[in-house]
Amino acid sequence: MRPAFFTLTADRFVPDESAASWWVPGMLSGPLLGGLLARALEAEHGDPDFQFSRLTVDLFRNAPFEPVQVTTEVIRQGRRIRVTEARVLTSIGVVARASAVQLRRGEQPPSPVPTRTPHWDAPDPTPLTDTYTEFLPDGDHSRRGMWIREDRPLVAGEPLSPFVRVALAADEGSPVAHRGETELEFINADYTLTLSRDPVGAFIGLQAGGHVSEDGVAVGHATVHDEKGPIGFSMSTAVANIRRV
Amino acid sequence: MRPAYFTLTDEGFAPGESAKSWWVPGMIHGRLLAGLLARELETTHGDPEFQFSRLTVDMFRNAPFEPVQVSSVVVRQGRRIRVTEATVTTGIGAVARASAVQLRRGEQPPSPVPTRTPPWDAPDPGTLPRSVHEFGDEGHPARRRMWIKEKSPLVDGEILSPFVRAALAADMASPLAHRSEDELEFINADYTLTLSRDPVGDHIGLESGGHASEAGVAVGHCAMHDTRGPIGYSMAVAVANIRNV
Repeated sequence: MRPAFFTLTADRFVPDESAASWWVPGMLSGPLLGGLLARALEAEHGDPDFQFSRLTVDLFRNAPFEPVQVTTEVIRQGRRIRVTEARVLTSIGVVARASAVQLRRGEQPPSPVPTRTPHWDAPDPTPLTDTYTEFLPDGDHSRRGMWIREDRPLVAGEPLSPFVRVALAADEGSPVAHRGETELEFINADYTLTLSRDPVGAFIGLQAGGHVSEDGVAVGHATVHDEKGPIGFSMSTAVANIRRV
Repeated sequence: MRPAYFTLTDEGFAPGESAKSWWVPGMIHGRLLAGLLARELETTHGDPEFQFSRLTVDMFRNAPFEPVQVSSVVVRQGRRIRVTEATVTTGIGAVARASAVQLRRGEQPPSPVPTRTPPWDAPDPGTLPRSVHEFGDEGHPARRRMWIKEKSPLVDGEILSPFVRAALAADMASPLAHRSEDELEFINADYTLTLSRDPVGDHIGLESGGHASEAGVAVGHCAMHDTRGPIGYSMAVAVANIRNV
């Protein structure tokens, strides 16, 4: 097992060097902050009768490479719905936050819903050993996909929960949707993950669903899968950016 | 011109007869609360150099049919990003809230991004008499499309802005994505609208994009259009529900 991204010490998450940003030197990786937010929401407000149906993560400020704190609060606790919120705090203030909607699981309505969720033409992930494996059905970039198998714990000593696993992977919906044939020229400011159920197994699949952009503002989405089929979607907004690493 | 949904009074936004919920008698329609939230965010925090690239609306409590108050705060004000939040409050407390991401418009990156968002070959909306016009695609029951032309002002004496017009229409993504062949058996708890640009003209188009559901929890999305083409997406999570009206 590789070292965890963070170690929890006295209420603070201390980053390992593997937690460095892909975009900006000396900063923490944004998607890992999304993972910490999902972990805190699940640990403090999760309930086996409820499904985390949406997680919206706002990544609005570069996070200095230092120990961070995560806090949560309940916005609404109803019979069928829970709305909660979490924040990542650093020495410069709040750098990221998330809101989540949990819905009570119940009986599936009898009438089937016709769906256009795109056909999943991914290779079998079983033999894959890399963390990220991209695939390109028929060489078509508009249908590009990825299998992700996170092989590091987020926090030392804790196994990744299915929800945190998919929250970590969902940020990749941005490059999957917003990359050109060769270059990624948009950095995402957020992602919104929706889930009808939690993923099963170690592999999360993403496949490009759509992209539109104008004047350096991009919006797009990807379908989220596990080995058994589609489980939801990840949508993100992004702004034109040049990588500085 | 039809009467407005709300009139701004000393007590807040007073709902008119047309503001009633489709789902529950004696309540305000959730989509109109979303419109008020978008209007507040745009009026108080809008900036011509920034695009509202995301609006996430949580509708977590039935709103009693009475005047409502709307307030907002800035979460993050950066050089390229603004994150804001707004809340609708009634006599029973907060009933809905929204978070928004604004991104600074700039130069579009040089590399084209491949996209699967389908071309929009809808009929000319100018010929359609109804405010909501749904049309299908013979042989493709999952491909549902709709033109929406909002004919009532949201607030008496005000013209609908392009952003508020898109926000009001975006709630329809839930029935388009989550309806069975004849019944709507899911009620949405939220929607997340993303926009690469504001719509042009009075007509907003939606096209179903995907749906997944299990144990009474549904997630799905639609593409958003205007008469010139795709402008973004609307995604909604929903829970199994029987209509009470």
